[in-house]
Amino acid sequence: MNRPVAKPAEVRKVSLRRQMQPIVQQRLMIAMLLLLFGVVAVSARIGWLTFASGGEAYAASGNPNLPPRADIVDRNGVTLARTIDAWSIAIHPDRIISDPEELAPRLHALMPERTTQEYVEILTSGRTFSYLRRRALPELVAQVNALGEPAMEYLREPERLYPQTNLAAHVLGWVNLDGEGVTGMEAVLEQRLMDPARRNEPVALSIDSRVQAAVQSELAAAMRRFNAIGAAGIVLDAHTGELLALTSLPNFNPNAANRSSDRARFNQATMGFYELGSTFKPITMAAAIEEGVVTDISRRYDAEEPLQVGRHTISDLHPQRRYLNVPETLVHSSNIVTARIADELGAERMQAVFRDLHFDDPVDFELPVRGRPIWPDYWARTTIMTAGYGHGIAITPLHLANSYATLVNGGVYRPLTLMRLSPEDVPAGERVFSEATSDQMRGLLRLIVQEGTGRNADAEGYRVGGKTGTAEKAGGGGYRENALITTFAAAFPMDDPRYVILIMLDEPRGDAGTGGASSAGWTAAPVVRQVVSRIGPLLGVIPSETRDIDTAHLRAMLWRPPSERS
Amino acid sequence: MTITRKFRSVAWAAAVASAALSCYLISHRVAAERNALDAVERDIQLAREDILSLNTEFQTRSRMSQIEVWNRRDFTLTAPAPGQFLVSELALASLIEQPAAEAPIQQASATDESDQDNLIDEDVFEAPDADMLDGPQIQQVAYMVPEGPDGRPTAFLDDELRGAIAGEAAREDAGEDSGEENSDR
Repeated sequence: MNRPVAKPAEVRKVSLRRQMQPIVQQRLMIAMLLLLFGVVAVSARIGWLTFASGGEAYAASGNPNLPPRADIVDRNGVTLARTIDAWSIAIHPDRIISDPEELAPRLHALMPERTTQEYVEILTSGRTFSYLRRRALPELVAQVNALGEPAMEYLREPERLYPQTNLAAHVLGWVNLDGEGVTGMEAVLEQRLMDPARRNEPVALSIDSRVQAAVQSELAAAMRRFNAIGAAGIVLDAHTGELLALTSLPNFNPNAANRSSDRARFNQATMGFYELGSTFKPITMAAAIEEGVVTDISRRYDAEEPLQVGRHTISDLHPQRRYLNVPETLVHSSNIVTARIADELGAERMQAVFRDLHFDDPVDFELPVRGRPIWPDYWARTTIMTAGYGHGIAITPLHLANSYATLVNGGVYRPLTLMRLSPEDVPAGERVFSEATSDQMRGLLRLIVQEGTGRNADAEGYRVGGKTGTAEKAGGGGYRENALITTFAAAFPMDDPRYVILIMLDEPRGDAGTGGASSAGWTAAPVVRQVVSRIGPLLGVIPSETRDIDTAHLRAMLWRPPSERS
Repeated sequence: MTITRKFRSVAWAAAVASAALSCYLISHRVAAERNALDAVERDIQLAREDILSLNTEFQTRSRMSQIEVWNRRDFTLTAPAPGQFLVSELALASLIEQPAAEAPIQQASATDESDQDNLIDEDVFEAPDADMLDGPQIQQVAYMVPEGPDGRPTAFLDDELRGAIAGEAAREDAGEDSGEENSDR
């Protein structure tokens, strides 16, 4: 072998290389392991992104269609409350670059709820953040943006919108700026509306917005016409207890609830307790018929002279000065005869019927109701007599509406509700009157509208039956003669009562059209006629010129002056 | 041997490089697809929000109070009267007071009165006025009996016959009147 002789330097190099070899290999190994680890890490990350991240990204974003708060709709699905993304205008005063003295008047021109001085104070306060307007319209945001101040911030925040504005405002209530229900169904349904599992499903109320609108607009027209200080209207399904309309005027706009007065927020239909007067008479009569006190409605009772009981004198508004039978008593709204029948009925049986109709409890339904009905502590003979025609006992219009439903629906009391009920959810109810009594009351109520004080409520073709009630308001140590509560409680169609309607006006004043009369027959009854003829077709009650309930036998009992006899 | 060994390492390097590259390309492609999907989903979400807000705006603009204002002021609508409702098809049909078209065929009928002599109008047998006799009262009257058992016409009432009958009747009348007068006296 011709091996070249290594030079000493080369030898040294080779020996050095031999020496270094394990170290180099070790380092190479480390570098390779590092690279390998990097490759593994990168591919693991790729695999992770490919297989896992899709689900992760989906979960992180949540269901974007889930509203922050469930919608509220009426029984036909019309939206009554919905949460939308609204604009808010805010400013960072510490980052402001334009002259506050110049900017403030412009802001005042666009948002006049604050004075120029207040804007100057906000702009010069040096705080990091301040709201200028929450719930701003997009147009306003665009105008403020056009001022060109970079310190402005426009935020999107969820906002509760009531598209129907003041429709059913007292039923809905409103939410505060943090989106929590304050009053009304917004507060009652807070848990249900915020429940993530059911937020997607809107909550259906029993309200029918078309009926509600008809009641509200007709009531408002009557309030204006008669200069009434308040009004309430109720429409309810006689067979289920569902409230189709519940209104109290004056009302408010829940979109700007904080700008409404306390009086507007007061719900007269649920919180106002009134002595509702003659509308009680059919209830007393039904109780008397049911208990066997009145076995023959053609029996006559003395109404020749006002009735003297102790220090009390009971007299009639339209004195007939003769003996009256039951149909005549209701048609002429005789206090004297009703008091006599109530007297025969006695305190115990009368209280039992009133208790069965829950006149001693707050109204049993979703909305919170303040206070209890004014139930007499001691039932003296005069108390029984006056309670018979609706004095000395104060209940809400809702109590009365539900008792009329009980009167005409076959005698079954059912609790009221503001939630839409499916047919199988309708409660069985408690029997108060027999079918026969209910039948008889239907005829008598129809007779009052055909022949008596309720003529103005006779919506043609709808077979309306009902009773007027004109009561003087208590106040100043007695009753005030010119401050009336006029009520009309009615049901239709009387051949198969399906809906009960109650209209109440607070302190109406008669005008030329009523001949100056401000009694219920002239003020509340026409509203019932208007409302019934508007809502009847919507609710599937078809008016008929030929159909009616047979009241011939009752009419025959009415005395007529010889000149009117045929 | 050495060359193959060296070449093998190059081949390995190339293989690893291409595998890494393809892995990278795939992941890039996946990322691009996912971005596109996200964009579509964002678009869908935006469209949904748009629909919701437009829907809300529509409902707010068509709120009951606004419809009420239009109904009262612009359309002056009122509630339908009971006469505007019909209970059945029969009620609808009874609204038509007269048939829309004239009947193309008019029907007439005549009954066999040949043997009912008592029905003959006696006015016919009044004595004709003298001044009316120059012109014929009846131009032509034909009274055909529907085919009877013998199919024979019973009468042809023309001027001549009518005159004869009238004359006879006048004579009989005169005779009766005088007879009655005589008997009264």
